[in-house]
Amino acid sequence: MSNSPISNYATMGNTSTAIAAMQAARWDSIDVAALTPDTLLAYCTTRLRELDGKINGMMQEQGGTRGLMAAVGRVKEALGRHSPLESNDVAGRKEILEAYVDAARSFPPGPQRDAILREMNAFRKTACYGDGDPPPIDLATYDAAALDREANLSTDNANNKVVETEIKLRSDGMDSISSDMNQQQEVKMIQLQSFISQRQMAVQLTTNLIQKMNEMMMAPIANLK
Amino acid sequence: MTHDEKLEALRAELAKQDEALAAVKAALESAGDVELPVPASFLEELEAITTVHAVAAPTPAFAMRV
Repeated sequence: MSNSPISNYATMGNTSTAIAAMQAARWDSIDVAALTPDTLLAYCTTRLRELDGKINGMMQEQGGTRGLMAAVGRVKEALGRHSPLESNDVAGRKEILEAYVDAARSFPPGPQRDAILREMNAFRKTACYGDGDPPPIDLATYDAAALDREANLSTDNANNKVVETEIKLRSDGMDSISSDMNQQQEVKMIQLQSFISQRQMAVQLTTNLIQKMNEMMMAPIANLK
Repeated sequence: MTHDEKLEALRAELAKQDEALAAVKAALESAGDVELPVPASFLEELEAITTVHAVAAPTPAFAMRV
């Protein structure tokens, strides 16, 4: 047999005896529900489930955001390595386009992906289309061959040179996306802290109940000594 | 405190809570076949604490010029 005080309580007899003992310990004015340990445990677990689901989801999201930030950072690095980008620098153009596509693909459809695609289009306009409007980009069909084709467009066109100030502009654009993400991450971190704090209160409440029950159960035993 | 450090601190807090919950679980499992008198206020309070409230996204605030 277990030495747990709750087990001792169990040896005291049936439910009515147990409740009577609790009432004797001055819980008589409290509205009491008689629950089996399994039911109480199931209730607590069920109540925590929604909170746990939210916390787990947000934890994963916070971890995933690091990958997204890294993808945005890789675009900036690629831009920085090719400043200025000469019109015949096919490898440089390809590297930057690849970094943009990878970053855009890392994000789920939404405003941040759209912002990256806008930045990419601004880059394509200058680097591949000599300041002409580029065709709209479809990430689903923009494969290695399409990327290669754009990287090799009009390499002898001087208009395809991307000067340092424009590279800086594109880099600032990526900074702006990073900054938005940081702000959103901060808000989500506050929400996450709030959920964990809620969970702490729930755990504390349950622990207190169990402690109180233990004390009630130990009281009659102590009186016998 | 960096973002990673904040996350690490939250993970440690969750682990501490899980330990406390495991102790509660062990105590309840060892209680055997009894009925425990649980104050109704506990059930109500637990429900209120664990209810997930949707947090509205921040909206821009506009000030009126007078």
